[in-house]
Amino acid sequence: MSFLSRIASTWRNLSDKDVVDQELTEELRAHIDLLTDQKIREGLEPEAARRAALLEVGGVEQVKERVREVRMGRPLDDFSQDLRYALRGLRKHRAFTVVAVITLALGIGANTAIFTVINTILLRPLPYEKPEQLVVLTETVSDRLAGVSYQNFVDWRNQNTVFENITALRPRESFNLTGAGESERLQGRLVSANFLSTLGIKPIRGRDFLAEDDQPSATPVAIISHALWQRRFGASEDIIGTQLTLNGQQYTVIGIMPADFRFGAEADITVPIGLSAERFKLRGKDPGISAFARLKQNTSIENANAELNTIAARLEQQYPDTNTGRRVRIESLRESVVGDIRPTLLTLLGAVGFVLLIACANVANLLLTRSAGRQREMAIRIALGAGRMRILRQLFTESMVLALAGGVVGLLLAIWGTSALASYIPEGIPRMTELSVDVRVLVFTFVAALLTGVFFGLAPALQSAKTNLTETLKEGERNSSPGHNRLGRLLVISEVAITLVLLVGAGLLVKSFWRLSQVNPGFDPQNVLAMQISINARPEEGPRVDNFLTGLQQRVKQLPGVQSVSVSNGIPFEGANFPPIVLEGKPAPPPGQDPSGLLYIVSPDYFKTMRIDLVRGRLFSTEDRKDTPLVALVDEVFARQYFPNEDPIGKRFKLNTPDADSREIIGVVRHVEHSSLEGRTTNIAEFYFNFDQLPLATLPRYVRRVNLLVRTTVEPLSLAGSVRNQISALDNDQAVFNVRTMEQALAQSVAARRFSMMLLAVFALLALTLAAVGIYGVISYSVAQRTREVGIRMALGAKTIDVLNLVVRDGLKLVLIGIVVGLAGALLLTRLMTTLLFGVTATDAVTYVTVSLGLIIVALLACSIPARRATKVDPLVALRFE
Amino acid sequence: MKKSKNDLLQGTLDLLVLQSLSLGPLHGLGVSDRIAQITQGHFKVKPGSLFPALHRLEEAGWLKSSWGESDNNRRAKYYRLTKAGQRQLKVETEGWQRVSLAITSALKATS
Repeated sequence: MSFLSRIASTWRNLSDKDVVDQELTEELRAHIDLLTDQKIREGLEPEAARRAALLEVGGVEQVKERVREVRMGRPLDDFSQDLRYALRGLRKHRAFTVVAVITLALGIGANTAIFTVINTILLRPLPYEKPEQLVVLTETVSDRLAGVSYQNFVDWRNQNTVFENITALRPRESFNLTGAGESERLQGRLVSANFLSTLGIKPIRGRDFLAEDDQPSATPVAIISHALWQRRFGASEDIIGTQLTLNGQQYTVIGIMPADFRFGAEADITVPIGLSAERFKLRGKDPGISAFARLKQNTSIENANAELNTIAARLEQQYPDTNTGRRVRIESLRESVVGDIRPTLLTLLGAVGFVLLIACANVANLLLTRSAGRQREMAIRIALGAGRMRILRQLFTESMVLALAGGVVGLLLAIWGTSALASYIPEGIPRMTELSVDVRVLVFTFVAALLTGVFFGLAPALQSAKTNLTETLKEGERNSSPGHNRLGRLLVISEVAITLVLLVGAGLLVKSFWRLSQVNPGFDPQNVLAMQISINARPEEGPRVDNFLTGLQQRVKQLPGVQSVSVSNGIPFEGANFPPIVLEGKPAPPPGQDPSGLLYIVSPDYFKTMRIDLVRGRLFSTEDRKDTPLVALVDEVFARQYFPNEDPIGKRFKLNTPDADSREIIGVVRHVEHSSLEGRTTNIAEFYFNFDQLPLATLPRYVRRVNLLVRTTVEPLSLAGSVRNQISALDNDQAVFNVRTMEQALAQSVAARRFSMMLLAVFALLALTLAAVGIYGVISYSVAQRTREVGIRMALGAKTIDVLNLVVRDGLKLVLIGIVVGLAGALLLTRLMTTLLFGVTATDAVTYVTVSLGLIIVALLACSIPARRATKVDPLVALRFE
Repeated sequence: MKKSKNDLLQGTLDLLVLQSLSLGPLHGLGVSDRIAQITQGHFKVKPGSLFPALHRLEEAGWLKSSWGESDNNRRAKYYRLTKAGQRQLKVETEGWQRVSLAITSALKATS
């Protein structure tokens, strides 16, 4: 059969339906006439001939129906009929439709929003060429992660056979841009020459780095970010080849990054790492780099791991002092970017999945209530010969229309929601700048809507399939249906159970967060203003820097509202160096186990400003000067780790560099959580040098990035302006950045956790609301069903309280069953989120009990509305009701 | 195409309708008379089967219909074979001959 003629017929049958039908009628009439003529010719009287003809044809309508049945497009025609019928029904019951669509839209929208995030972060390939070949290399020392030493990296590069390319990156380098225009502190990175080519990225203007650029003696060159080009240089095409003054050195701009290029920390300036080879020449004592590589085709991570660790073992033999215990760990770039966030996202996806289930249950309930009133209609249609399949198909069409409408509104909600979400997303969640709705999201939403439709459409369909014709028709106007109640109750129980699981999950996160906020970081973050200053100074300008810092502290201290001021290199929740040290008078440690600690170089008032307690000995004082003996403070962890069972005071140690000065320990202070309230830095030793004792010659190096800390008696940020003024009044050749309170810095460290907690809480509340609506619906329905019973009871003397009891007990029974099921579910499921918890176990009894009680209270409220309505039943009206 | 019993019967009817139109256009009654005639009265096609068949074959593109005048000046819808219909008739005739030959020999073998 020709395809074209099929299409043509289908089109004609559907579009010119009336004309086609009309023609059929005429054809049959002509047929009867012809037949009559024939009969007359055979000798019958006209009357008899016509009767005989009609008899022979049989039922004209039946013939017509049989012709219609074989026509093309019949299923489509049925479908369009169902669709029109469904739309008409939905338009007629507007309140029902609106409630159902909103419920579904919330459920589908929440799912689409979370899926959009998951799609962006977990599913989409990283925006580099063949990203599946990219891997990250890290070094471990006795199984603890450590920065990669540049010299080891060079050996890997020279000796490996598994990588197409291997490249080094030192992120978060700061550059002071001076010269034309306001001086500005920029974040940048040092990279190997093949950094961009390894990723498969090309500069949009100018050229990539060449191997010659990556040498200590090379002319300094830089590639700038698209954002910097736009902002600072007005997108001028002449920028290539111009000179920039960065940290007092001239760099030639050779290229501009693509606008959407991102890799790790933001960076406006990218320069070859070879220019600073001096900083990286000591194996194991350099600032450390990150290394990543592109695997050769058909090389697995396991192979690469094996080979790199063979190389590492060789290096261990060769350089026992620095490389003992050093191993290499290789993971895919994707895993290193998104691995941490995966459990959070999957938890959230689970949560919104539950919300959608509850939404489904609610809509199913609504449909059940509605179809209870339609049972007679259905029964009559079946009695008149409509096939059950036909009826099921029609019910499903209605469900699908609802589901797709919910899907469309949900998608809009999700698009709006993700853009709202994006602005609240804390730093540190990877790839959020790539967030967008794509085809995969659309498909997801469509499939979610369809499945939703099938799911909630099942309830009324099942019910109609069970319709007992004679019973329904006999029942007359009474439209009670025990089947509906049973199904409805089952739905409520599941809703309560699911909601409980969600509430427990959210409750555990809230409690974790609360626990976290109770952690004592070892300093008092309240009323501390912090800002970073980077001072542009040549190596010989030490005295100028010294004057500036002394003057600055004196001036700021004079400001009203200021209690104390200090400068420091390194502060908690911002960053500090982690150098290896040498303890004097102790036997040399086994290779690879050099002691080390976090180094804070602080001015004497630091401890007063941060309120860090002294445990023993004394703090730094103004008596400690450049010409007095060098002193140091250590924290409790340092004392315990390096001087167990000894008094550290009076002992001496120095940094493990060739020209380091030895310092005497004069006191022990409390340990400070350096970067995490979750205990990840609880066991890291810390020590303090006195800023005032830094030699003038090295001072300019330390003030490239120095923190100014101010303890205030007023709201800290209100002083930010006047402090800035003091700085620029003293010395204009600097840049101030990262102005915030220490409380904000602390909050930043838990922002990702707070974000997922808030989201889960929102979803749990959404679930709770939907479940409450569901309970209300079912109880209302059952109250309406029992109007007569209630009327009789009241006529027989039941009091208001008895009726209330009756209804509420009914609802409570469902809720309690739901809670028991939900508790079991929560015990099972919350185990999956242990990685997200802090200071609370997944089986925390307090959370379970609190949440259950809360849910019971809400359920009682939801029951009480229909219960109150039941008490208003007038016995007379109720008895006459049927 | 699967050969259920219905398909076979339907196929037979289609074949007869196509064959009856192979000599020239006919209206519905003409088709049914012609079938009776060429099968020596063995098949009498009722309108309830005839018209669905005509419409189905037309939608398949094997027949084409147009309104015309009958011998005694009545308006009637005439069906004629299209090129595709002639081809189809050939295909079905060959198919039918194969089947009938096979069945005949099968029946001979067993009896």
